[in-house]
Amino acid sequence: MKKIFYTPVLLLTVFVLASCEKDEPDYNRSIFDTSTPELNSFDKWLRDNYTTPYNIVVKYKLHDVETDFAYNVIPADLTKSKQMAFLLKYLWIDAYQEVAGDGIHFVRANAPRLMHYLGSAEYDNETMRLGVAEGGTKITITEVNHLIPKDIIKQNFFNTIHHEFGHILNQTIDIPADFRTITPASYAPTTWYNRDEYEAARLGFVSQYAGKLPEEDFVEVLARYITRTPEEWQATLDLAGDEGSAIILRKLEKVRSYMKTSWKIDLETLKSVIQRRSQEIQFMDFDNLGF
Amino acid sequence: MKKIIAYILSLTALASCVKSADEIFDKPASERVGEAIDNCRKILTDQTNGWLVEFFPEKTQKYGGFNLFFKFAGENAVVSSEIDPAASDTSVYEINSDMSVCINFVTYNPSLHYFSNPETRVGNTIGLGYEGDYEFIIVEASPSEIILMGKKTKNRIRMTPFPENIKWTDYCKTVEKIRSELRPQYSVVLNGKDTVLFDYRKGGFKISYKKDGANVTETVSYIFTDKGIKMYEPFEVAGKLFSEFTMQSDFNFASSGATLVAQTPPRWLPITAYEGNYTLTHNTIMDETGTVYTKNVTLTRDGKTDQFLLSGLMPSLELDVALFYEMGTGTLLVYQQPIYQFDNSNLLNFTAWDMETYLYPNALGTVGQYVRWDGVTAPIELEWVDYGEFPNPIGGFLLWITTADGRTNIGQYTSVPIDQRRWTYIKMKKQ
Repeated sequence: MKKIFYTPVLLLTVFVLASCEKDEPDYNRSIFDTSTPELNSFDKWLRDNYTTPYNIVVKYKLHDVETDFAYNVIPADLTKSKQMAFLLKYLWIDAYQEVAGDGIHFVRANAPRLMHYLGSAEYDNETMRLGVAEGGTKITITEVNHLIPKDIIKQNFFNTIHHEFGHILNQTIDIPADFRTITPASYAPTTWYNRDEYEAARLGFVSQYAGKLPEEDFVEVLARYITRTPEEWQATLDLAGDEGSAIILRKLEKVRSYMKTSWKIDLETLKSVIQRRSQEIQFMDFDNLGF
Repeated sequence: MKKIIAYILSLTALASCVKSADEIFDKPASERVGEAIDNCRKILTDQTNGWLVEFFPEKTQKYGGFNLFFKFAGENAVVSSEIDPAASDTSVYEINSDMSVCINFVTYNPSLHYFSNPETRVGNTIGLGYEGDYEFIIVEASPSEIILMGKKTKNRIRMTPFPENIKWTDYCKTVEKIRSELRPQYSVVLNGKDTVLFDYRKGGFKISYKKDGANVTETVSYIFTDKGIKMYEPFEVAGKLFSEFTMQSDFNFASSGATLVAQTPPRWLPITAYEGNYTLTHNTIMDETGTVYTKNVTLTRDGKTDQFLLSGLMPSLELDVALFYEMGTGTLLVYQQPIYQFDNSNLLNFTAWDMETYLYPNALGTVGQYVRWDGVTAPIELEWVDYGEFPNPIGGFLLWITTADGRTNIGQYTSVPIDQRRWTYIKMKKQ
């Protein structure tokens, strides 16, 4: 039976081969544009400071066709994009690289692959959508056109980048299970924004958003602790009162031991490096970045 | 059985060799797209004084059109617009083939993205703005004309080479002059019997006429040119096709061999008539025989917008009140409005004052008065009268404090003399 079957199949194969004989592909003509794109000075700076060392692509040009047309958004300003790229590297990538035991390798292994800049927030009609970290590979930075370089430490970007990077670390090594059990009953996934800063603090949350889910709480403790000055952090504890601040400090210890055991990063060193860098940017000239 | 199937299959394989698929194009698709991109780039950059762009935002074109100017060189585009002709902004543009051959403005350009920024109150509201495009499909391109289609709105946008010997700003000045000479209504009699009315609306006309005995109204959008106005799409009324209107010296329009005669309501004033210094007289109570106070005030137009600012109403506070020009009636509207926010976040409001209950203790809503000319006096005399939208007549304004959301009343503001916080029977005479 098998023999009878294979004979025609062999014949068929011969015909198929024959039928393609006259359809030689032209190997000299690619359907892809393989010419080297022209890079401007900013593109070169990004290549040398983000892409080559860390394999991070910074997309500062908006191609709306790649976003959802239902959202209203505008592109980032070129000058603001340059300032943003410089500042995020200085206050985030370089800070981690300085502190992490294996420096550059830590950033290479854990940084997002794509950073996308948008000029405004994204609006779905009148509802605003802020930046998101998608699956640990892409971070969208919205409202780039609102950046005031020397005030960045007071603007949302500073906290947001450390918040989103915290999520990426958590996606590789999950948050400790016993963090979830500190205030399990206080999370309000859909109504967290009904609490003000004071109410949230009294319940043991460093911000309103921390009260959403344990995962958000964890990265908020991390981000707020390292980006806030000691005075600002103390103000949060004061706002929380005795009971609230005791909870926040317990959470902080969980974050501290997670960073140490999972990532070999000392939280105090990280905080002091970020605080020092926040001061240093005050002496930089953002109108003459040189690229 | 399998044998038969195998033979049938091999026949199919033979059939595939039939040489019926002739090449339609002499080059592969990728090469043709590449050539189209290069061709478009050359056409765009060859115009050394740039392009005049008839830009219509929003998918129903309800805001009308705006004159924009594009100039392309290297990777940069320079953009200016009639909104702020003094500004010309440079940003990065790309020509690529993401949806056919496209021009995309990929970094922020204030003059262009003004029409798409969702964070401003112009156009619709926060979240929407003017809902204009900044990514365009090139539908047709030749050195004498380029037709674009907005990716989001699908609006047709026409670009023509801008003449070498004219400045963009001079073109905008001519456009501004034509805009200021527009009248609120035009009428024309067609075929000796069909009366057609063209009523002004923002960025277009409302056209009213009779068709088969029934009243028909439709709205159309236009853009100002240096000669008159041009419709987004030609439209037909009583067998006549209208596409462009040329302004005549007497404010009338000529189009399609017909003359559209400008109609001016009795108390109508053009927007340009209002700016200046006035002597303002007013009362402070709802009684015409009360003490009359006199002030020197100034009306200033806010750029090219419809908004005016009135200063001098409360000299010791140095706060201004906003008024809005309404083209249809040729008057200024004064709505109640917050004018200052205190450190404790409470609002100081210029609040409409109800003549019957003496107070209108709610600073929300578009309630107010309109400021109109008597139609005779020169220099112009203006009177503040009830706007007529609120059930009770509005007799004047007073300073009133509310919480930051305007919903909860705190009370009257009493820290200044009475004539700087209450105004009734207001009249203004141009100095």
